[in-house]
Amino acid sequence: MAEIFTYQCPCCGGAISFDSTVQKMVCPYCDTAFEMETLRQYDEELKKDAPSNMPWETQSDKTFDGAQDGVFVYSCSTCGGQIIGDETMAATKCPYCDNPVIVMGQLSGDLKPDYVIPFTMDKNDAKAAFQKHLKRKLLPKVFKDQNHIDEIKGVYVPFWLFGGNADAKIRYKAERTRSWSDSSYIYTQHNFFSVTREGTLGFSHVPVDGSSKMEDKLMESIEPYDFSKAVDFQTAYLAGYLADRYDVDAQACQPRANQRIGESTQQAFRQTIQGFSSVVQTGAQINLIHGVIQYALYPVWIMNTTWKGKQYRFAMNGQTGKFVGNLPVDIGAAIRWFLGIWGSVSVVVALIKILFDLF
Amino acid sequence: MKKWFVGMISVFLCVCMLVLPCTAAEQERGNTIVDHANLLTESEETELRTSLEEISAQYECDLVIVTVDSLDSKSPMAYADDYYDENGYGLGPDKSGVLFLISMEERDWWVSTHGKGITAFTDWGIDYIFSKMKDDLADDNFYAAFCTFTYYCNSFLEQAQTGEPFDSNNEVKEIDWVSTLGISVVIGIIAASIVLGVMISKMKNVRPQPRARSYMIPGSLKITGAREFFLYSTVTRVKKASSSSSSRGGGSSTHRSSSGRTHGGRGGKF
Repeated sequence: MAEIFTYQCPCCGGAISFDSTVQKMVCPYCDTAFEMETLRQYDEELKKDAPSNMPWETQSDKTFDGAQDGVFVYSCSTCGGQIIGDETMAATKCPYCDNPVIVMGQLSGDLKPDYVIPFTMDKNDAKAAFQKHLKRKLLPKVFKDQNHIDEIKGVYVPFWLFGGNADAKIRYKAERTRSWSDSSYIYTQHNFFSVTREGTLGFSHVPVDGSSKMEDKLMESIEPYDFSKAVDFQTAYLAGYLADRYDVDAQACQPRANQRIGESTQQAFRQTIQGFSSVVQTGAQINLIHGVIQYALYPVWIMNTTWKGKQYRFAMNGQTGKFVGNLPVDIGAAIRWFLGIWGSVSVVVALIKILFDLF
Repeated sequence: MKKWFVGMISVFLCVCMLVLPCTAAEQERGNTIVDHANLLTESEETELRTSLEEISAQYECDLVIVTVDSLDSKSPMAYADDYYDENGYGLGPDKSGVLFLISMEERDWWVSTHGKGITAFTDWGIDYIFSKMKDDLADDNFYAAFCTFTYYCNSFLEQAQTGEPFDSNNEVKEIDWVSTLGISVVIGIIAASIVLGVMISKMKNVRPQPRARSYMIPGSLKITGAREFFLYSTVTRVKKASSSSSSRGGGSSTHRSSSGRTHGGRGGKF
């Protein structure tokens, strides 16, 4: 079964994790920082070690039983405590010793991501962004007061990245008008044209959420991610965060990518048509050529809170800090605001109207 | 004794001869309110008469309200003009005055003006005053309508004293409470709805991204074929809005009555 792995500080032996502020691995015990490049080499060394190191730790009976329920049991390499997870869990923290652990099997072979965008926003940034997000006038006061964030989790979410050239041929019906008038009529001449645009447009790394645990809508809301900051995947980046491997395959994610690429292509082509008073698209044929699919882990801060029996989920882009999450609306406050604005605007308008009448 | 008595009589007759024509002329001038159609109660009549006479005296312009059941097959204009001329209405050397006629037979109204009344009450002015009375007249609230008439007569005569009577190019400066209330309430609701809509939409910021704009490779858009060709053409036409109202010069239109005097005035149905 899958093996649990902890990065140990080469200096003191403590469990080390990735620090988003310095973009290095930092040991919380002795404050030693390690370059990612060093870790990459170290990583490779460790991979060679791993198989021979801990075969005796696998508890085949239990994991086999658990696997049938979708529950997997791992044991922590630091304290030996049992870690319960599901089949997609790739990185987590040991609930007993709080050391970051990585499930090696989840990220090797076919499951190994091509890229990772490391976290640049830390937990405090996420908390601050959440507090800022709550500063809304229509938010029920009790929601703000009673709000206990159940958990703030830094998660590496699996994404499929789609790239390629869209080869499109789009047809439009366009209208150009000309007006003139005589003594009693205004005439408008509507001239209709057939307009065609053919061409190509390149897309790179259009992300589609590959985890069924994350709502696609929530993940799209925190986009865009800047892929230029992505680095080749190293498991060391996951230390200190949670990570899942994909459970929705690339095939299933394609339609969504195609849809977004198609929409964007149509918009870009539409913008090349100028000088008409109206343009209506009448037909489009879009083919994707040289399509490439890659697998990457993107950083997301996730927090949940439950209020009045309803769950509210918030997400922050771990790279850009974009924070999203729907909030409940205080109906009473909304009515008060409505009446207040209505009243004050009406009074001002009435005064202006009276002045206008009198002078 | 007899001589003295004859002298007394002759003096009295002389005095009578001097005075009587005046008193006779005074008596000839008809009532300020002539309610043949019985649209008003006794007390309403008294009250209106008091205020009408007060205003008439102040501006030297007779104000008369006449209600009749039938026009005796005359036109409202002719009836009002003749009524004015025959009953000796009008104050001052030019016999200034305004007569407001209501006929219940065909529900006609007419405002006849004479002398200063013609300048004070322009065509536009009469239409304006009627527009303020229209609803009351239609609902048979004649007392309310006549009170309105009295009120506007006062303000029109007051304005006419300044030498610039109310007209289409010098409209009555008056707060229109109904439209003020309507406009302010409607704009208030629209403004509040827009602001609340924005505030509520800000509470929900989880929404899918329909496009992939941020992932377009900059400069990768290559248009290899662009064609445009003419298909067909249609022509539509819209009638121009008539601009006659804007060039209205205002003033009062006048005509001659059967007695040969010049009258202004306007009327219609209610």
